[in-house]
Amino acid sequence: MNNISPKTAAERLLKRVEKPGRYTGGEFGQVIKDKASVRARFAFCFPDTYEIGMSNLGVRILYGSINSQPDLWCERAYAPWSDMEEQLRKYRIPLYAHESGDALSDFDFVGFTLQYELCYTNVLNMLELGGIPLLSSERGEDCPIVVGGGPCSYNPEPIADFFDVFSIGEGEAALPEMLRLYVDMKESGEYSRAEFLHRLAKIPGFYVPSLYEVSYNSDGTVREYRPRFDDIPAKITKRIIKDLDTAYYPDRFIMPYIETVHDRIVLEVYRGCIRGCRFCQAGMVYRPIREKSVEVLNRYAKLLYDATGYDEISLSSLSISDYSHIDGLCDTLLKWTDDAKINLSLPSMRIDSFTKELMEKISTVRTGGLTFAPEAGTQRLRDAINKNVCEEDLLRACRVAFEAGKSSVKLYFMMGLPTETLEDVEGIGTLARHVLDAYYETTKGVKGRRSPTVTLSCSCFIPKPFTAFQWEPQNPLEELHEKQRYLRSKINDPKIKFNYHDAEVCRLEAVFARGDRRLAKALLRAHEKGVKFDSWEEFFDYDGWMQTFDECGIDPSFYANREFGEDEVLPWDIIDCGVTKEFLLRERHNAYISKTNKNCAEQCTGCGANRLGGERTWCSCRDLKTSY
Amino acid sequence: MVQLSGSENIILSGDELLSRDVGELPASPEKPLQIRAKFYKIGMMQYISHLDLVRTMTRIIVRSGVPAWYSQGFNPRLKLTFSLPLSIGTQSECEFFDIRLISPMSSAEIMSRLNRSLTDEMQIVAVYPGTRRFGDIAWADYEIKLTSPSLSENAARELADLYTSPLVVTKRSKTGDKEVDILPFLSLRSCRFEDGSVTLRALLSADSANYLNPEYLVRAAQDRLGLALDDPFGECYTIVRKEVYLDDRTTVFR
Ligand code: SF4
Repeated sequence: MNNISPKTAAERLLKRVEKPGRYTGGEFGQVIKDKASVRARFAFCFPDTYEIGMSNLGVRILYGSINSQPDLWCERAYAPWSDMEEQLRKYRIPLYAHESGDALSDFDFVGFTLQYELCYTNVLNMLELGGIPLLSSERGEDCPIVVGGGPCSYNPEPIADFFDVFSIGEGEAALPEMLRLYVDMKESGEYSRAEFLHRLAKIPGFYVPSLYEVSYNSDGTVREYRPRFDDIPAKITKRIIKDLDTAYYPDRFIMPYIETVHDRIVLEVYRGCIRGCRFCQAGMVYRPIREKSVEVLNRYAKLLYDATGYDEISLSSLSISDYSHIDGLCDTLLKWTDDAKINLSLPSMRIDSFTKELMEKISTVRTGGLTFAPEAGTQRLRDAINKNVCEEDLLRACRVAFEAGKSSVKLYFMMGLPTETLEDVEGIGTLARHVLDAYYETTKGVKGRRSPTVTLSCSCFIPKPFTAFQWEPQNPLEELHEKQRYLRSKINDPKIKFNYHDAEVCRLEAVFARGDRRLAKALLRAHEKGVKFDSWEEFFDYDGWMQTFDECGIDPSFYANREFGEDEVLPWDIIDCGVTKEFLLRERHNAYISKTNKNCAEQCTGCGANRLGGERTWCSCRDLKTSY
Repeated sequence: MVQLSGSENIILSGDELLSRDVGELPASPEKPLQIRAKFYKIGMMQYISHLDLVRTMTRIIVRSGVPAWYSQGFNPRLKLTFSLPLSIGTQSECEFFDIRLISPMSSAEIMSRLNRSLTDEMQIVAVYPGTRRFGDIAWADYEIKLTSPSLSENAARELADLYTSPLVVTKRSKTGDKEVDILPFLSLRSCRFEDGSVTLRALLSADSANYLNPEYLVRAAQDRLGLALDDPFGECYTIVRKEVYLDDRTTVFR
């Protein structure tokens, strides 16, 4: 193994793993560069399996945007499944990047996209397998700079000790800029790890946790964040791409050999969300709302079709039917996609936008399963969370579907939402029965119709940073179980199926979602015990986690089940995501009086994200250009 | 080196066929032209399953702009057929697939369009007007290399003996395990010891009724010589499919 690359070594042991296709690399569309002509190398790590990572749009965008610069090279790495990990450890082969086959420790930068809290143990495991010290304080001059980004970096505190820097917000421009600074400093001889991180901290959107000192009050809450230098900002404002039309977007995708979660073309239509559901983090942190024009989307759809040969185009955004030109976009695409035998899919449709015309146009709606997300069982609670959907909307959408021959629907709900009572829980079952009634009404007298099914899929509310509910306690585990049992007891129709998420998983997620730096200890301890793949049922060990917290003197309820004080310094107050704390607080109080808002297309509710600027919005964001 | 009789008179006919340019033959939507591609699949690519290979190749052909024929009907499908499937963990220098052209394109152009999308561990080496049915493949020639510090000249002799005498193995199938003598389905060509490895070449039956997986030979060797062959950096083995033949065991399939 002395002078062969880790990947060449790995080739020999793939006979002994279950899904070797995950580790081969060599896919069409991967970027190979000549090491000699490259000035900085970045290993983009996805802390979950290859199948999940390969489908991630953010990875595709950032991979392409770094690689679009000839002297920068971005490669990929994924979390090896346990059988592969065992082999790598047994033969002392470091975790390698798929393109060059080089160990992670050989890179200038190792970046992790943090998609969900339960991937944190995988981050630690990948660092260790890659031969990189886990704690940023232990990394020497020659170690790669470890960078984090993605949704979880809006509260990076639980993992702050393991990262040298976080890129906050949209990374298309920020990451190449960081690499450029590195190259310049290296080549001018000014580079040292400390000096680089200090300079980086002065660039907007970069949070270097080691340069901020945190102190705590006697009750365990955060007292303050203090910058260690005068010339770095007290708060890190997220970066955004102002104009999505001219921003980098990939014109080809890497084509996996093995089947991945989503094998299809993905078009990102807009960023942000006009709705403002009070539990939803994505709806807040991706504001302000900026869209792409139909022409640009259509151009990329064609480029990607030529480059991939995929037979499905998915229009991706938080609530696709809200796009200002949704009909125009569909019609423009359908002009050529039908002939090319390409299906269009709209994965995030709102109930109130579901129409007969749309169903006829969109083949995946025609053939696929039907899912709606009322989120709560009663109108009162739907108003409290600002969902702005009423029962009649849902029943109307279902009738359209039933008339067109469908006989099953899936409904998503969240249990344990703030202000929820047992009446709201029971309302979920009642709603399901009304959907069944709607089926019988619509199909009365029609022969040969199948018996209907309504599937209820219930997750648990998790208070997330930068939402109106960020201060709210999660229901204690016992209460969540009680509510699940209660709903089950209220459903006695076999045509209604009831699935619910593991409340224990949701609790662990809540701990890390609102955690602070002191959780690093628990993550380290869990990692030492071999904990990984927490989001996978076969690995998740709740009792093990509770024991770990106990050993570290950490009370998980402090993070998950405590009501955070409105004047408390929150661990994520160090980040400015655009939306202001005042707005969120206002929204929290609106929830208590079940006051709904108009959506951003109708009226601005003053979230504050417009401060960040941006172009091409169809909303009432002040200061944003609405040229389109 | 143990050289067995009969292996020297292989007639390498058919290779002139490989250089025939399909671009000179008529092709139209009414009369599509069947063409054949010969490719290899080695290194990391040995871990891509047959199913994944079919899916990948379909996409590559679709986006290559090669004028391929699609089945008609509500859900048009690319007409693409592969020869003998290859097990995961077996490399091959000799794989084939067929497509049909609806308008002429030269072999060189087709190859360059498809190879652009493939890694250097899987490349098409010829595109030609192949007409023999894949079902005519009756034998496949494998190179099996066993590596272990415990091997010697002696082991090579012992294995040569093993593979030329009745050899009963347990074959797994959907209907249960079966004891089968595989000697009628195997013909050893050579078996030699060199640098701590025994390399054997053998023709194995490859027709659908009697397909013999080369892994059986490895297992028989493990049992006979008491080898574990489970250390990728010590005692291990590799299998490469080198060539495929017709029923006469001498005419190469093209
Ligand atoms: S500034 Fe106003 S319109 Fe814009 S996203 Fe915020 S609330 Fe909506």
